[in-house]
Amino acid sequence: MVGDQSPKWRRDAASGANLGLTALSYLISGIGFWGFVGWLIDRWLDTHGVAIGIGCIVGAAAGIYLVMRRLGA
Amino acid sequence: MSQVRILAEGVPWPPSVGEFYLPGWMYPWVTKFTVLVWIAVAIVLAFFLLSYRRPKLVPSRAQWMAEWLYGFGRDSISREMIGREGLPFAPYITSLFAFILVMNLFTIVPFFQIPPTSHIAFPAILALITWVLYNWVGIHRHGFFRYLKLMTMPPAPLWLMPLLIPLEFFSNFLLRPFTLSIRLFANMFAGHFILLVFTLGGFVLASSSSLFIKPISVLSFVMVILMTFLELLVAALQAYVFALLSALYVQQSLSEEH
Repeated sequence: MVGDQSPKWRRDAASGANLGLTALSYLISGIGFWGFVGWLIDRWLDTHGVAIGIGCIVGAAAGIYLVMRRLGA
Repeated sequence: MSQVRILAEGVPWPPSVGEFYLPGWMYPWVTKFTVLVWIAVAIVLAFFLLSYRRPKLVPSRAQWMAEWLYGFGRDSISREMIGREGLPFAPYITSLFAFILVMNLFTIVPFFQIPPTSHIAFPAILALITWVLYNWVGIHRHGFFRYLKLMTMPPAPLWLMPLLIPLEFFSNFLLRPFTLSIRLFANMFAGHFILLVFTLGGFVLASSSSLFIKPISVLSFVMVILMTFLELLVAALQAYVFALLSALYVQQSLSEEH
């Protein structure tokens, strides 16, 4: 591109300001969303909180996986 | 509250919410924050209007500053982040940068000494405007469903998709404006708090009856001076980061692969 000779590292460094909170928001939304689904299942099937735990762990795993895919090398 | 006492001339202790109200003027409706935002708007408006009023080929100092500021928003933020298509967004990015910078700098301006950005409402509204902008731009470019698909489909095997798509949706559409505003708010709030703690702490230590504690107030006041310089840096940096991330989000909604 003409006139677009900006080095790539500057854009990378700039989006680096975003990485921390992006990772955090993946983890929070993972645990929050699937934990909430687990809570709904818990209310429905009356599992005494087991479904909430499963939901939170599955959500955390999904969040960590997304952080690795999106932000990993 | 029998604990309220006067530490020094005009320094009430402990500080209360009453500090945010202007004495005897439009009592609950117009606070210090309101007036400071008006002042910030007036400063930015007047600066750009006056410095561009009679533009010359050889710019005056004010015109040079305004051109430098716009050039910074256009080249170093918009073009840098968005690329060739960044030009239409340069006015928005630059105004955002200038407005937040002026508001942030109020944290160290004598008698103002609190930035409106340390009140969550102001960063929240600014982040909301950016949120509307990047979603609108993305929908305009790709169409609603394609945009939704681009923003929520992670690079992952198909069987994981049901697990991951809600997370992408949450983090890209719901949490993003939240984190954008929290970043600015928390930085400015913490900075204001640090300055306040060291200033008032200095007065508290100085008014102590113990001779061993009194001298420590000097340390506290030295920290105030150092932290004031740090706040100058933080004010500029956070305005830059907010404008930069706004541009980054626009770029992400414009791009084909996310």
